[in-house]
Amino acid sequence: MSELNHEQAKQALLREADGLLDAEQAAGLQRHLAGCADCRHEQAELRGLEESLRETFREHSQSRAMPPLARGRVLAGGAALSRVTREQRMILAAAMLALVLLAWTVGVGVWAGWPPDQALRIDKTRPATQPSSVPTLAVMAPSPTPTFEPLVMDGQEKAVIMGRLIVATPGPKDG
Amino acid sequence: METAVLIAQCLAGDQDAIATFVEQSYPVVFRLAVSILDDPAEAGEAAQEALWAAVSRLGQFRGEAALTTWLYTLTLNVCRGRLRKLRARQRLHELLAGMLSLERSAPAVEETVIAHEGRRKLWAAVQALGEKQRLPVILRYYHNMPVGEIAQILGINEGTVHSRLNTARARLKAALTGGESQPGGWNYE
Repeated sequence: MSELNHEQAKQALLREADGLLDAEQAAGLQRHLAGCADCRHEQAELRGLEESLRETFREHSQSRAMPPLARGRVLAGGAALSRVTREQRMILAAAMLALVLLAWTVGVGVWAGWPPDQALRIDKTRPATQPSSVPTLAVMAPSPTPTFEPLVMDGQEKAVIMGRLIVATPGPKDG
Repeated sequence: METAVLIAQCLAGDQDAIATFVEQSYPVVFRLAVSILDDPAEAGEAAQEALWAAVSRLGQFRGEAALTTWLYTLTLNVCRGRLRKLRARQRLHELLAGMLSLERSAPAVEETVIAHEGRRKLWAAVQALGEKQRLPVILRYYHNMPVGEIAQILGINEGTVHSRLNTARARLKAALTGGESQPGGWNYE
């Protein structure tokens, strides 16, 4: 096996620090270190930093007292979390049901009242003003005021507006 | 009690087993939380939050990873969330302090509990690392974890962990010696 050059040895030092060298690579590194003072110095620095880190963390760990465990709180919290999950599922199911109902209602409404010109039976040929004796649905009409061809059913004038059956009441008689 | 048996009893709803699981896990979870959050009170809260999560999700533990690795992953997620909130609060405080010319708050806790000057400096340098580098350093040197386990907990591959550790070590070396992190350093990312 070829010997490591300086750069490869530096890489190997870092891999060694992280426990990523296999036995053969470790042996190669040792051979290089035996003849390279620079890399031995590099290794000593790296190990010094690692040891300082461990000491710093050890000191930090010892200085941080663990607060007592609120066991009941944790267990209650766990139970509460399960409850929340169940509640969330129920809310989701209710929301979906409400959404389906809403969609169904809107769908039926649109189906019954769409297209509006057919449902409202707008008569574009009729004048906008009508004799006062003719019942008017002007109060229901958008602006500009359309006129409607009332349907005559059961002796009453009726119109279907947005899916609702509107029964017209007679207007005031002239004179 | 063996872990698998304890978990099975917990899943069967045995309250004593759940209490045992929580008590046994608390020191492990707290130690990780305090190493990340650096505040025992906050870490205690985080540990308990992580244990709530663990108890309620115990059914999701499949046993592919060690129980401690799974607990560490849950705890790390809780700590990350808390860190984000703490930092946002800190930024707001700094902003308000700047606007209102408030006095600086009391020295940070670590300045008072790490006695050795060099280690205090090193601790400050670790805290100054970005989260990407800081977490692998804490897991590797605070908790003595192998790179493979760190990779599992952080959800990244071993090469990335190694690379982040290299960057971190180069920055720490530079911070301690007052030099640059690149030339002659250990940064081979």
